[in-house]
Amino acid sequence: MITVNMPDGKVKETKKRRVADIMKELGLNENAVLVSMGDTLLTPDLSIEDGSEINIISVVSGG
Amino acid sequence: MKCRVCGARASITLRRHNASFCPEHFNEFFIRQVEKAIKDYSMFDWSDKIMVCVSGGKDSLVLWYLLHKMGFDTTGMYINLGIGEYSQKSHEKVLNFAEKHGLKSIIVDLPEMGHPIPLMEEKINRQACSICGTVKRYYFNKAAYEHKFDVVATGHNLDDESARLLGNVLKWSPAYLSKMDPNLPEDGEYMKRKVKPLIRLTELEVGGFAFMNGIDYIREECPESKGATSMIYKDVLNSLETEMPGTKHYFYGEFFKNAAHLFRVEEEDAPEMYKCNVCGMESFMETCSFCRMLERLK
Repeated sequence: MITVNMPDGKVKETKKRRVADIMKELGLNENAVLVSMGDTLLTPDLSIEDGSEINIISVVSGG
Repeated sequence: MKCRVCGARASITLRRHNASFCPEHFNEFFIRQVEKAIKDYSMFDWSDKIMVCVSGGKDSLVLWYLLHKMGFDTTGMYINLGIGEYSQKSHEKVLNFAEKHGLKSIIVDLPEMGHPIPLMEEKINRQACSICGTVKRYYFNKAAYEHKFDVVATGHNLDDESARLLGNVLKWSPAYLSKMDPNLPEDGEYMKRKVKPLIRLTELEVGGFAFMNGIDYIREECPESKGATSMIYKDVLNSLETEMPGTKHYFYGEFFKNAAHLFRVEEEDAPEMYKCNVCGMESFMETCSFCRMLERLK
């Protein structure tokens, strides 16, 4: 299971491993968020290990 | 994905450029885009004194960081809007950033001046974002004039500007479409040149640069901006961009090639300007819109 920290502080879990698949499952647009693990950004093609924790960073600002 | 330049593991993929980059080569790419924007639009040169409008968010802090690193003479200008915890945090981010990099800043504190945005919203029958826009424009122009800056730089990026263009096209608003240029020249005695050096970069790219360079910015959105139409336009453009990478760049760039000239306001058609009879700043009416708002607080 992968733990996903969402931008609003919520925590989700997913069985998907590939970053692009996780984003799709969570309904995240690839142009609107960055995905990080620790101090590294992850590209959508990467597969991550079971038990990992990743962060979703929203980049959309407005008003 | 591998870095297009060195073949190392990539940290970011830019589908619109059909490229991925490691942090080192992404930084190079990013700086090249800013240099190209400054040069292509003749935004400023080394002799100019630049005021960077900062909010504590990623775009304005990235811009300030970069222009300073590139060797330009910059001063940050921050307005404490008095919007609760959001303003406290953003104020802290700006002060910490300026201290860390040894940068000069100008701070305008609306609560101290007696007109924080929430109070203005309560007393004036207008949306907070609209009031905030008027207040920011007023203080940015005033500070740039009083401190004798040559240029005012803002952190607007390609997503901001293509969303604004979409909104203005949907309304066919000539007055706003005439002001889409990322380099707006000086206007009258008080309005300094306004430039947007991040215009060639998307929000994803600016966010990636902030992350890779450890720029500490406020990630929370302004609570007053919930439901803002600009977010709807950005959402639509991001969906289009996913299906057709490069759409935002094309939409924005082709406007200048094919349509911007249709909305250009000739000097003889420009509205007559007055000096505000309250504050003395330039205005379309005898009393400027900012001073008229303050009148309504009394």
